[in-house]
Amino acid sequence: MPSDTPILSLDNLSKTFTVRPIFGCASVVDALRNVSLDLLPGRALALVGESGSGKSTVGKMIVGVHSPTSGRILFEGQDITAMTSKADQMRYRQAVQMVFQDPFSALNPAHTIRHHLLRALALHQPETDPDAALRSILEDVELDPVSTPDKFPHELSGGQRQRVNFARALAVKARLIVADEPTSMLDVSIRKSVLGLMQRLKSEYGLSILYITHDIATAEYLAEDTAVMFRGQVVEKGPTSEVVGNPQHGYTKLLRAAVPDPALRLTGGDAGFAAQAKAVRETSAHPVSALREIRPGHFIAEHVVPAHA
Amino acid sequence: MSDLLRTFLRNRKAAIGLTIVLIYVAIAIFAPLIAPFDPVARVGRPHQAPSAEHWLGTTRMGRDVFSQLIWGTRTSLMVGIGAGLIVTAIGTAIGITAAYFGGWIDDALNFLTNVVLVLPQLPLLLVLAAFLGQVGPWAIALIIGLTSWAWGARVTRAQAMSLKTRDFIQASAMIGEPTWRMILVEMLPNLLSIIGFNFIGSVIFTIITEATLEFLGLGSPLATSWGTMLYNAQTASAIMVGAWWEVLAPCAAIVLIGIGLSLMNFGVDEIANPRMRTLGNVAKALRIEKRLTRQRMQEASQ
Amino acid sequence: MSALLSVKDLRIDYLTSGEPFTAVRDISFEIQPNEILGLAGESGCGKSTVAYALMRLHKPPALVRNGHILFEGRDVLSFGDKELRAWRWSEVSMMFQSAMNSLSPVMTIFRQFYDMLRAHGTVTKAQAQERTAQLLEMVGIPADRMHAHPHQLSGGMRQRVALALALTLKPKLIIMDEPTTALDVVVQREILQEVLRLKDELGFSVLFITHDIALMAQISDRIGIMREGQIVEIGTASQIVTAPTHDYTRSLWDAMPLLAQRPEGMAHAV
Repeated sequence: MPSDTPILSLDNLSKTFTVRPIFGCASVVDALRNVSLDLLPGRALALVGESGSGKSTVGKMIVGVHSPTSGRILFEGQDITAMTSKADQMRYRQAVQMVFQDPFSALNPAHTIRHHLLRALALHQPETDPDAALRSILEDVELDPVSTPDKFPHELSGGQRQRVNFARALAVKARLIVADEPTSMLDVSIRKSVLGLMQRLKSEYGLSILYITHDIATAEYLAEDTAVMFRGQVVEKGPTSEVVGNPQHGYTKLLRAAVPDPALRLTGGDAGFAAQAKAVRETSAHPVSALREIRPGHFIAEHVVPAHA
Repeated sequence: MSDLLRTFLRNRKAAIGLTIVLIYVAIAIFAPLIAPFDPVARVGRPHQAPSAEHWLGTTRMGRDVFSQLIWGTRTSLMVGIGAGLIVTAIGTAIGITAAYFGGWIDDALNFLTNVVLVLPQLPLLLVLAAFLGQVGPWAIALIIGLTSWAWGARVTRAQAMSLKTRDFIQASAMIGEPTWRMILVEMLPNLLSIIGFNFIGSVIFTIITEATLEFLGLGSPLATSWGTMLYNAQTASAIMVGAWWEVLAPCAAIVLIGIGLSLMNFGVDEIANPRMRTLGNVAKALRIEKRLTRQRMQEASQ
Repeated sequence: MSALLSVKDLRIDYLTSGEPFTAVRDISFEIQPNEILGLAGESGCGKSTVAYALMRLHKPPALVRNGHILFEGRDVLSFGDKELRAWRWSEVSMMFQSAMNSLSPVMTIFRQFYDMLRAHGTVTKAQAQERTAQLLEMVGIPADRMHAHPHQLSGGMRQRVALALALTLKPKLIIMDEPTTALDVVVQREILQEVLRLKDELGFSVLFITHDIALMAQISDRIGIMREGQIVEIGTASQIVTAPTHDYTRSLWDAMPLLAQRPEGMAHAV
């Protein structure tokens, strides 16, 4: 049931990676700078950005691979770094699952699909009948419950493997799925069907989804809200219809314009796009001074303009 | 499993290797039925050349070389495989543990591995054996096992580390698998080929090392193995008196099983690396393509 | 105008331990001078196999069983080793999906150009440096980057270097196998516009291979749709977008996630 309390809340989250080689100076990478986002229960938030934008780092921090340099990650109101007891951690693990970008790498090549799913069921739904649960979960992700269980990962197509990954999250009875570029390694022609699956899981199971992607065009298939990131900062966020339909920040406009549109023929003579890209990248790299609410719920970043510019 | 076996046997080298090794195993098992004589009994004149009665001749003590060889197979094989198992077990356990846990556990185990790796093994074995006096084959198996695992540990660790970067390890951790299951159920099956490879390599190594130690006189004179046969041949100055059969037999036995085991490793490699499986097809495709290109060149020049 | 490249009844098999698998089944198509032909299809349809075979870069157990690849009338499949090496890169070149497939990680950028120039004729180091600088500037990379190693450049810059490498000997045809799939949309747009600009300036044809038909429709003159080793439909970009005749093509359009601003799938005026 949708409520107003976010299931996941990032509060001024920052992450700095320090690379300290044995010889030479340490280099510091600001992967995330003051990122604040909210994800409401039963909804999906698309986190859009190019490589290096920090979107994957956000995902990794939510599942606990990295810890914040500053700021908080709140799950159902609780700071996840404060979850120190084994029981708490186990509960968080169960509630928040990740679906990885490479569907093949996320499955153990030595084991059948049955093994993968039965393990998840055994650990999180020990009371239910495993065979019935297995059948029902495979049906939920639109895989054949008769032939799939005994197959090995290399015997499935990319799309099928990704469905198994979602099935595993269902078996664990997760409430929040962090989907890190779940379709970018799949053919364009099957992305829509996987997105459709995610949409169904969201509406039928009330799953919340953080959909991390570089393809802004797919956001509207799944996410009610969209946030756009560039170089570790959120540059625009709000309802998808507004952020994608009527982008206000320069970078979002650039992303939107770059989406392949069969109706738009490219010509070599148009140098405008490249110039626009260069200008936008320069401006957007500067630290965000404020997030201006231009319409209810729709925020865009204002950047610090260096004095000498 | 049967799938793996079929892939393994499809490789001709592996099939030949397996056949050789199985013959040895059969000899070892059926030794009492095959050997015509008691290996330690004096049954003929000293240093008799190979004849109808004594297929591989006799030693200086008049013992039948062929029977010794047959019985020796049993000892040498058991020691080799036994030590191989110890080497593989220790190496695998240390390698996987170091890779999975990382951090200070990795550092500590790496240190241990490096120390054992750089120990001059043969001198150490000699000192140990000299210290313990003349030791039986099982003691030798244990000594070799405890000192030869380092290289296997290194290799296993490297493989396990690359495995750890795969997402499925993180995915298993995320659904809450306990650590022991992660290592034994999720990682280990993916390491079977490197473990198999290590095991076969260890067996070759231990058989040779055992023979070496015994040849140097550190084995028990009461045991019959290829190594003790060589030792006896040496003390009897077999080569000098022209009794080549006494030396050739155990040497050939060691060389042949070495070949057999090495050939088997080719098969393991194929199972491990699916790309290797296509090698036969690669060669075939190249041949056909060359022929077709020649045809096309001829047609074009006409 | 006679075709620059004419592929006739090309059949490519993969030898397996069982029956050979026919990856490309007797396909035929042409590429005209200064034309961009797009070859689209899902993974495993054989489009990459075709791309590699055109330059005879296909690796065994792949085998060109039958057919002709006529480049300006000469059958590439009948070239001897010497002829092939002279023809490759100077008449036809290739851009691969991952720049790390075309760039050696241990050599500087300059070295990669220098090696190629030397392989196709004598050239002094100074001449090579001049030419490299020229080529890098042509694709929008500052010339001083030629002394960097590939890993020091971003993904987009690496692909630009790969493009420059492909253009070094002024080929008449460039084969691009999913050249922008690993890049984000903005960089993808920039690189493709670069390709179009250079095509207008220098004059070459492109065989553009991808599974993203929306992207392909933006730059191709003609598009061929491949499925399971066969070309099921081939026509102008405009026709493939607005009025595809084959069911498979229609199903591909239906499966594309396009921005909702446009009606789903078809009926775009180009």
